[in-house]
Amino acid sequence: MKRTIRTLEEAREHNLHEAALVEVPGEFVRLIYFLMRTLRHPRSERRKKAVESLLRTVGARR
Amino acid sequence: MILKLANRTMQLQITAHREGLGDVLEGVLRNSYFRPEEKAYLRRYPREISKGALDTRVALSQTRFLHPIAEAMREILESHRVSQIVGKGYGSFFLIGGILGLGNGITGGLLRDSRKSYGFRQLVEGGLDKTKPVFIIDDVLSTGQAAGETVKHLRREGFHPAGLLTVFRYGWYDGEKSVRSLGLDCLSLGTLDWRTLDRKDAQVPESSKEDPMRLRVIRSWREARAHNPYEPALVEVPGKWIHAVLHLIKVVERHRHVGLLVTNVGRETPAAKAGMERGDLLLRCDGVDLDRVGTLRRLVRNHPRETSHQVVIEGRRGGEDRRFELHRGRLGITVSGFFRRQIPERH
Repeated sequence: MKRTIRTLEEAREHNLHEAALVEVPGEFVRLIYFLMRTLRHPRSERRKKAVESLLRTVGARR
Repeated sequence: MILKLANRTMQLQITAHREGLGDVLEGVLRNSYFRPEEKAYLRRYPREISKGALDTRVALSQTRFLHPIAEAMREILESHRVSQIVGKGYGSFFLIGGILGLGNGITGGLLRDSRKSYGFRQLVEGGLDKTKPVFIIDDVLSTGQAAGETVKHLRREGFHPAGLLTVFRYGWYDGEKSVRSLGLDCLSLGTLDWRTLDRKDAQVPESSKEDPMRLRVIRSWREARAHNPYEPALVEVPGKWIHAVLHLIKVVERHRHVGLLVTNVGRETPAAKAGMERGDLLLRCDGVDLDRVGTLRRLVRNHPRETSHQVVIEGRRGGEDRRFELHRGRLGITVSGFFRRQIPERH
């Protein structure tokens, strides 16, 4: 059973090498699922890199 | 009104601040509803009710509630010698219409979410006079954050907001204090409070006895597309990206309507020289909200009719505001309005 993560505090304590279920507000489910699917099964290496870059640049900034 | 949330039974209590309005306010509350997403939120944080929890639009669209409320609001406005009102959001639009419909010499205005990219590009629609004070009309005051935003926009546009008048105020928040700290009067027709009931006292209506909602795990693209945008869900995320995903949600929540994401900046290009970086969010160009890529393209193009060679782009990097001044023409960046395409509209 995968752990459920809701807050940044919980994310900080979580093991980096282990996938988890993240609670996502309904309206962003499609967006986040799309990004995660692209990371898992990318149509191209370029697209995967683009998503990783997006997560690094936007995701790392509040 | 009795609610069953977070395995507790609670009673919402209304205190009407005007005589004869108690029944009307209770009627509004009974015809309003707590949306599913807020039910899930409340189960986790039972002491909180998020700002949009109470949806009064269904109740306020009915004349039996709107008319007495608009009448009470008109009397308050007259006693404060206010002749101009403005509102933002669909709850307040009904109220503004109701008050204006009473025909009492009051002028109304509506505050838009963002400017249109054509026409007069006004943020405040209607015939408001900038030299006279204006009262903000809304359905619910919770923390005062939304009211603060409205005040900020009105002041930026040159108006003088003098007060806030709402139907309800949440008694468990300091919304009133926050509004008064902005220099505004804060008035409401009623205050909502709640108390937890003992099990034996509680008479829970049948409709409230449903099982607590369990969050759904999204396992396929089809499930993601078909998911109800009002309901939170669980998505599997690799450990490495959990932190980034939670941050990303915060950013997207804040800029869901306006803003273009800089996805790449070419070396030695005008944008790079102006200090733009990948990951910046571009919000406005020459004061016009950037809601789509074509808008930016149109605004920065080098057109012979343009009088100024400079273009000013306002944006955000992390929590900081940024301002970039560039020459018109090719900027040397790629931008994306990708977020909005992936976020379904909420109705």
